[in-house]
Amino acid sequence: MTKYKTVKIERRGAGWGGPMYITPTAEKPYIACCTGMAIHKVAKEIAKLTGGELRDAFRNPPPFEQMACMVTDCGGTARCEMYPSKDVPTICVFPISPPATSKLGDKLNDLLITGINSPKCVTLVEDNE
Amino acid sequence: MIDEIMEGSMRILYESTITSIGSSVQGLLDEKICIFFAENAPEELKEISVCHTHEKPPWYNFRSRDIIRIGDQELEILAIGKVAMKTFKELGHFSIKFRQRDDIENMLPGDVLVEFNGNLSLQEGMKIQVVRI
Repeated sequence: MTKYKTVKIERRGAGWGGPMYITPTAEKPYIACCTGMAIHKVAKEIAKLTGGELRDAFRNPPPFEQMACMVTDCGGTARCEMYPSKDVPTICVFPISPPATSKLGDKLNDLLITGINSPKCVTLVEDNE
Repeated sequence: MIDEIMEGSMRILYESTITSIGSSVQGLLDEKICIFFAENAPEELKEISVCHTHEKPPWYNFRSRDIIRIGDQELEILAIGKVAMKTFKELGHFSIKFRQRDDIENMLPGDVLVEFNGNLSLQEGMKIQVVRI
């Protein structure tokens, strides 16, 4: 029995990758957000639906291994490469495409989705059990 | 509050000081990329970044032909990506790309494309300025 639920994250317009499924666990409870001055509404929606715990990953970052996912407003170079390189599923609010030169290659297919700028991109996956 | 300092016909739009240089910065410079973050960035971003004081965000958006001065080196801004000013104001974050690597067509939205010939030299304590001539 778990208190956490799964969400599906998918693009509703321009962007790259996905869909992505996020389920926090006792070991990975944090919905981390690194988007400037405020916690982004996408991160708030993921936390609300899954039961995960919101964390400002710029000012108070949890360890990578405790992050269920990371919501970022990366312009394409730094954070969209850094967080997937640490095996953290990364959700970018801007519709960037990763550079073809990315060292992460196919790993990004599983760990990066971009263009997720609205809570409407996040839906609860109903439990069929 | 002085957000703009006049020096002759040159206006200083932004000033800060380098506080640390991450262990991955030289490798990125070799790839003609230089990433900046405010000094309160988390450790994993510090590793890949030049961190700076970023006490006060710029009053004006930067534009092409403005000059980024790092110490006595001058980088001319050729183009600024659509989201670069937002992340700069909020996180002191810039991804500078030197023109040898990318042209304007394949810029990413966070990029600041600059013209600079030679090897950028970076040290803690160096002043960063953005000026408009």
